[in-house]
Amino acid sequence: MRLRRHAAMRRGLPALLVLGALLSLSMPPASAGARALVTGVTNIGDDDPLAFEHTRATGARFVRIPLRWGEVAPRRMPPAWHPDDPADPSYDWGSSDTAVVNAIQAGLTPVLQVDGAPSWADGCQAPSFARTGTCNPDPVALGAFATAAARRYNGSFGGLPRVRLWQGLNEPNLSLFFNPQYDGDKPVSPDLYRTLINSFYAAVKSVDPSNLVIAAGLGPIAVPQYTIGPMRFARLLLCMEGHNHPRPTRDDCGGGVHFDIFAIQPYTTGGPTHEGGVNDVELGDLPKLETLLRAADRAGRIKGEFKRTPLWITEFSWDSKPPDPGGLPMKIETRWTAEALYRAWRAGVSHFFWYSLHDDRYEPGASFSETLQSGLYFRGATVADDQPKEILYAFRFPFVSYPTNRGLFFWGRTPSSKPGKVAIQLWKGRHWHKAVTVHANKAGLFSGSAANQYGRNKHGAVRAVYAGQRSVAFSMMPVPDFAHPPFG
Amino acid sequence: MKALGKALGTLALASLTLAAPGSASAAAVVPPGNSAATQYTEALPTAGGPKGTDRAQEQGKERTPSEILGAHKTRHLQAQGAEGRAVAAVVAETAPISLSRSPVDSGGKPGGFDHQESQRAGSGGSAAQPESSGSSGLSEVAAHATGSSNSGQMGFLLPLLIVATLVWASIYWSRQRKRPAA
Repeated sequence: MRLRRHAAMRRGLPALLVLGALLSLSMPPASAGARALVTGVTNIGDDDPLAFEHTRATGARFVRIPLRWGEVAPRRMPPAWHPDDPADPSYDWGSSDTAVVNAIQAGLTPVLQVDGAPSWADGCQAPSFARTGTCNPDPVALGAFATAAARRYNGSFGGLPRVRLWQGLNEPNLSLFFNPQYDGDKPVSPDLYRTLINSFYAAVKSVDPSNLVIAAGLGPIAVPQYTIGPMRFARLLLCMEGHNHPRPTRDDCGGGVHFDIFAIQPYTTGGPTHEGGVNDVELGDLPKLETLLRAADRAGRIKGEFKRTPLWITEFSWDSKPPDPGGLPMKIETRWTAEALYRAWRAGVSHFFWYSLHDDRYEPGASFSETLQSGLYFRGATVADDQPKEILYAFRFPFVSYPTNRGLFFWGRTPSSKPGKVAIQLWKGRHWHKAVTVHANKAGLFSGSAANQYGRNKHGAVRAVYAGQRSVAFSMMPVPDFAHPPFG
Repeated sequence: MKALGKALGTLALASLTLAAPGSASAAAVVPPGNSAATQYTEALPTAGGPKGTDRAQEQGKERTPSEILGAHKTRHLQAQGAEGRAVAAVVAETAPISLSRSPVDSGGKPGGFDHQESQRAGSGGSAAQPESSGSSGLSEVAAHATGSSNSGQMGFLLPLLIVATLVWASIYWSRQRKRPAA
């Protein structure tokens, strides 16, 4: 009897293997079709409408605009006022009104990022190196301001446009932007931030439930005593535990954490595959953050709009050389920009914001590592004088290609994020030759493999052509990861 | 048996020596000062302890690729055209200072820069999952030159090997002691 069972199992096994193979072949390839990759720019740094047009010219569809609470609200709390009323005369919305109007007129979707509390809303005295208004702000006061802001930009206030996307604070895991981080040895900032984002969410949603709330983008690395690594911060915020197999902790997490979209700002001390420490999230670490978010979703920790909480990168860049002598050489940064977009998309990121539109103005005597020359444009005397960097073209029309054992793999997104035919071309004998034509999907994404040994000798380049526009040629010579500071 | 015991003992001691800088860099603390950049940037490990990445700290003469990579590897990179020259130049510029005084070993393949694509991305079982940097000579050269080993993470295998070697060496030596004199 036992022999017959074994024989039956042996006969059945090949059939099971064949069935499994057939099932895997019938599944759609992973896909450029399943998820979009939308780009945005953080930090326009200028009110000039031309700056917003330049942003649109990068292919970005979103723009993140800071809404500095401490600059909009009065410096001293008035004796009698209505902080949840956008029409209260104590508020000064001039700068944000201009930015929102310019964004809409340029065809961009604005994301308003609220941060920087007025001193009267601060809950403590921040360290001297921290930004102003970063010390455990009062959640009630934050909620009142968020209500006022959401009302102002609800689409029916004073002819102002509608803003639907709201981000609550910035990098609460960094002592630069939020304090206190610790009480003795115990991290406290995740619990404090949970209270704040819940208050922010309630306020924004009370004005219009279709508004979307983005949690504050987390900074990338753990620096003992000064920052909490983003993985650890996220686990504490979401009441999860475990590194490789995250699971909920036993408590009820105060009823959960309220936001619709999770955000990370994975500045990377290296290239697109670079991984940081166990609690860091640099580009190479994005998959482990995605794993944590999925587990938090399954555990019901995230009380948001979506069953599968989206992951956005709300800031990322490298300083370029030129102009920063310590920045990444332009050719390498151009390649790495395309790779960063691809790898972020692969890891599950749906929206990728570049920091910033143009370089900081150079101040003589200032260290390059303290200023940012990470713009998509070189800074000119005026916005009209700004010149696009080569990295802009990789950001606008990202395209990568790698030789594999199964042929030449490629992935890209059209500059307009629209569908259409894309020709994949190979550089051979001083000319470009078409290898294959594919069709970009409705999000402008395309990927596939050409049955081709091209590039396996690390020579040559591949590019994509769409509607007469060409991607930056992607070299078959790999550039390995190496340690490089993101700010030069 | 005697030769094996000697070899194991040597390996154990060598492993301890090699392990120390890695574990030191894993515990590196970036001196914060008032530099905002340090809250975003890893400390780069060096033989002399961790160094912040503030370029202002790295004064002194410009280092050539040959000084960092060795003449042979530099020639190999430069023979690969403009891009190879660009890689050699940037590796020379960004290598930790201590490496400019140490010869580069051409053997072996350090960890950290030879990232194999994994299935962790969770993007579905695509038929085309390319290797990121593969086994190119550039990856070995750049990994040696920057002296980094996956940002201080040794993984669990090296410590396991060290422990296993030490245990084996201890057992061997204790058995040698118990043998009666010839």
